Amino acid sequence: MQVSYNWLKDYVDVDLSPAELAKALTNRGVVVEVFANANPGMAGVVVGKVVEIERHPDSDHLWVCQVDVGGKVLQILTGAQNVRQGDLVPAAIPGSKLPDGRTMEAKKLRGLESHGMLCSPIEIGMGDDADGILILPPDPSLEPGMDAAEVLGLNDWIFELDLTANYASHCQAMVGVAQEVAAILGESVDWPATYTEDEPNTNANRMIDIRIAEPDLCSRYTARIVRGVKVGESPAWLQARVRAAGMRPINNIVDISNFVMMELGQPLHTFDYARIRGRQIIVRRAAPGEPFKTLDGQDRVLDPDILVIADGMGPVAMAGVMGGLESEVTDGTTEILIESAHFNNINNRRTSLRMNLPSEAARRFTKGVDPSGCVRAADRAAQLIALIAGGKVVQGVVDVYPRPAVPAVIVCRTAKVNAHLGLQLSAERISEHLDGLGMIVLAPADLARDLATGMPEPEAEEGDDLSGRPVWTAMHQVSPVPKDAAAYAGWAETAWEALEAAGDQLESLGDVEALVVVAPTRRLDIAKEIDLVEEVARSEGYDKIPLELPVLESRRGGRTSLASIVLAARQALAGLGLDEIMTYSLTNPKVYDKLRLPTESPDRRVLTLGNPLYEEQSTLRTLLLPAVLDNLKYNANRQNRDLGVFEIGNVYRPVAGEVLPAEPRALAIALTGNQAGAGWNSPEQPADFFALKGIVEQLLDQLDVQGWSVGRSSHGSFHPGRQAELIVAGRSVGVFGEVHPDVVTAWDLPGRVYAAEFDFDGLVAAARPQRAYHIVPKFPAITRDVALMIGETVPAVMVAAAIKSVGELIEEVTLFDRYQGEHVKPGWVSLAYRITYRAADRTLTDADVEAVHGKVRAALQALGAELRS
Amino acid sequence: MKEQLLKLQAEALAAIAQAGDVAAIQEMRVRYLGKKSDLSVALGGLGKLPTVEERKEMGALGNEIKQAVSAALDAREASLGRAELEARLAGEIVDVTLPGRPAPRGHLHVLNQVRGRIEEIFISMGYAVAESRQVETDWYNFEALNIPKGHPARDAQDSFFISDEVVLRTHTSNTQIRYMLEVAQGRTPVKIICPGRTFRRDFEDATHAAQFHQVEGLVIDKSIHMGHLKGALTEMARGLFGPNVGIRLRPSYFPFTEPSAEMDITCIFCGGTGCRTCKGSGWIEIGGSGMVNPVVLAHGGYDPEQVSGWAFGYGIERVAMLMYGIENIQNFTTGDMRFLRQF
Repeated sequence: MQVSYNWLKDYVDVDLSPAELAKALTNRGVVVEVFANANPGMAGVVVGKVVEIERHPDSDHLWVCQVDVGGKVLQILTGAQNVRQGDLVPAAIPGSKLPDGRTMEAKKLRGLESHGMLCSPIEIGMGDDADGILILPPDPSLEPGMDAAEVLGLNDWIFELDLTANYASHCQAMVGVAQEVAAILGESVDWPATYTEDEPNTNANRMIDIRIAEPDLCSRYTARIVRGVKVGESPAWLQARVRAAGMRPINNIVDISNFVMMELGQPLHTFDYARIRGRQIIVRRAAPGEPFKTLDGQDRVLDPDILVIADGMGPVAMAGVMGGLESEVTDGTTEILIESAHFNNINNRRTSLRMNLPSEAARRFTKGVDPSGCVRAADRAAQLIALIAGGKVVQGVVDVYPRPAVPAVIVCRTAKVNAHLGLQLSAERISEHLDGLGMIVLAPADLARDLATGMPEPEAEEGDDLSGRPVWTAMHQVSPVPKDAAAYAGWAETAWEALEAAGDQLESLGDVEALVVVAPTRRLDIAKEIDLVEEVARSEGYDKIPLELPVLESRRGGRTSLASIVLAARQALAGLGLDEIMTYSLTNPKVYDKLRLPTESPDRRVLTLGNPLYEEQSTLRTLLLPAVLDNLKYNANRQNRDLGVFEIGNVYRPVAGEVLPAEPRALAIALTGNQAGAGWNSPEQPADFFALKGIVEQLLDQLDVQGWSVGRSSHGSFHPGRQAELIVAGRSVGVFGEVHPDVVTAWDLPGRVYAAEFDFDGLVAAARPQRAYHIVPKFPAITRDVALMIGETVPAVMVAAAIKSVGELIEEVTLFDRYQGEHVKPGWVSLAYRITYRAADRTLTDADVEAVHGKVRAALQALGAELRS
Repeated sequence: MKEQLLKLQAEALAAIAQAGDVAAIQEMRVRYLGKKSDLSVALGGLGKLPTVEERKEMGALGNEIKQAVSAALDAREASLGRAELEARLAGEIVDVTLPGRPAPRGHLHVLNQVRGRIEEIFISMGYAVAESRQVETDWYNFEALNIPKGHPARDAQDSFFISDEVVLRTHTSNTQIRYMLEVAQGRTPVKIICPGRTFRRDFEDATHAAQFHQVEGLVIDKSIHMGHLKGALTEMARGLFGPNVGIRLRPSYFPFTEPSAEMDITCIFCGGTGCRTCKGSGWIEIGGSGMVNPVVLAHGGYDPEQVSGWAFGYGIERVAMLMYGIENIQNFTTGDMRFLRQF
């Protein structure tokens, strides 16, 4: 919403500077994003009247104009072709300044003196139109010599409001913003008068028959008719207002519609009455495939989701979005039908979005418009049309109002307000704030009087004595009430129900200090007590709210045990030299081909977005590995080939029969290039399978994962001979090993990559929450080495297990050498183990150990080993 | 015999004085004092002496000589050892400016570090850390938070959807509802923070990402008011940005809170005097907050007549960017080691 500072002054006496006003509004939550001087830098430019115009004798495009600039006539040359004798134009006379910084002076053009310049819009900073001179409207109030900036409405400040959804509805009208200003200043708002001079001989209700077929989508439709109108240019003041609102002047009828929409917030549409066929209007859903030509000349195909205004033959407008070409007001129109209606915001937004037709009107309906204001806006537009475009306003307003909006009657407890805000405001202070916003604040006793007196007879008319009913009276005062008898009857019924509901509520609350607040219908955001709490808070000022800490029952806080384990795992992995990365949850479904996953792999069952931005981010990941490989690639491309990274993050897996997927955590690790950084005194340590396995082992140890083992695996993403699956508590939790060369190639990585992808939740399922303590040994250990040769296909883990199986006194078995080559039979491997023997209750003797060690040797021989020592 | 003993002593002491290194001393200790040394052999013959007096006298002399030789050996060994140590130390000089041997060092992601700091601040005040799902039903992400279908706030939070009823959560507020319904179940006080990953359908630039992280806070109890929100936010801001930082609340609108407030912190770049970053205001916007809307409390199974609450939320990326002056939100996901290894 764009707000003119000068225009605001039409409704409220502002004695704050633009800067002060901007700050005060922002502090109330009506955020002024920018405020700027409307004048881009023009000074001394005056209104000139072209009294004579002729061709330059030595030029085929220049014109020589004699221009009355107030008190004198100057010769000014122009190259523009749109100037006619009698036109009023902005004349930059010698000494005047233009926005581009120029100071005008007299100069010769092709031998003739030009005392300044006639200005095009772009030259005075009004838009980008450079084609011709800006011709001012033939407005009798304009005289040569007047300050052009004043006439164009540029001696002004423009506020750009960034409105939140709750204030968007009432602050999208000048009068609504004025109400906020009035609340700041303790002033009241002067609402524009809407006196209309009626043509007595007929009545609009006899000229048009209006029916609403979809009251849920159109809660009210009102219309006025003005006859004998002459469509033409608007006077300067109206053009200035329209421009100040950020729109372009079109003609007097369109400009008035826009002006009233800006002033009162009610979008209007004007029809050429003569072209409404059958003298009837039906508000209905479009038929499937119904054709319609909008006033931008586009042929559109409608469907029943779109609400239309139809006449006796077919659609004449898409409700609240755009009118039709057929019924558009043209230069020849003399009879205007003003539509002032209320359309459902959701339907309106959908249509506007679907048809890609954003407009000021659609924007307003989307944010919400006050249905009570329809007639006032129609009256105001009719009055201005009669005033500016001539013509007579036809007597009567057509008002079809199936869903009447009534003012909210809210019981507001002072204790509740204070309890929410931590303040101690009196009932008077609260009343003051609410009153300043145009609400009427009464007492519970007033409501009791209303209820005791009862609802007035239906034939009561506006102006009747409503005494004895203070709340009822207030409901008539805060927002306009329908004048049409049928519409009023509906309104009164709904209004009395609201009043009674407030009475019931008050009764149920018992004996508490409370206010009865009647809120105008234009405040669509106010329906409940909490809404008033907010109004009081922003009126009082958030800075008045004290700073305190609550005193609550003391409870233990902290992380869940799983979150603590995640944190411990991250710290452990970083401690092992890995860098943590955080990649996208959204991924390209093609990565599973690059990973060589079989078509039936469950990892390929992904959740797909209905509205992705890119194909690369169109599915939710089931694995971390692809993004981890992307990361290696990204860094390799930047000369960083020595990498060790990990990520712990959620993956997303659809669950059969469930609406929502499982979101287990996964852990991925990847190594490539040199691991510990090589230095002047340390050798390179290229990543290999065992570097990765060492990290996995350390992690499992740090998390104290119980009962894990590894086994051979055959995962397509990994090197067939250098991969293993990790088994925890009898369940495979993932695979680690050298990444398959085809995968490395698919990612275009420069060297071998070692990687792991685990189901983290499964991996930590067997983590012991607390370590088990073993008493520190009191007696010394004895070590014995055993060297052996065995077939290379026998896994090392079996050899160690054979040793351990002997059991008694064996504390630890460590492989300290492994050798293949000279002195070892082909297909065999030489292994050397150090065995630590210890007894818990005595110092072992050599004889004790020899006895057990003999059994170890026997066990190894039983496994097929040849002992070397 | 006496002469023989004295001669042995003189010979030993002379040799010790001549000894050139510690190794020679050790050899002499064996030669002059060992079991097979001349002295030991000579003293071994004491029994052959004729009188008790002589045996006594010679025994005493032998002991004196042993002690003298032993003392001379110790003294000579000490002085030679010191000299040898000094010579060795003089030869063992390293260039202390050479780089150390690289020890493995990894880095936690900066976002997780910042998230951890935020969590620690709130844990120290007794808050529980709650997490929940990222793929969520429309009800938990929108409806329960007072954002019905067609609400304009849904425009501002353009979401990725899986189906009509399933979206990628646009904020971590779903955790608030799930915590109320699944964990707290009507009990008070509720005192949690909810960190986690969130998604918005935003084209990416230096300050927008389709995936980001939030932390929200929620407190529910009897007589909770907006002043308590200010208090908790101030503690949080000071924990993150230092003791001189204050907070400011400005009226705003969110469907899930009422009254709602934008929360600003004292500009950490200028200390509140006004600079380019804060556009001269002295304040930096950090997130949203407010009193929990009664509708939301009711959806969470609480009676808004009995309890009240406050909530806040902000982006972890935003805090990290402010804290370190990081200029581009994309850095967090790009994973460039030149970025990640700085933290």
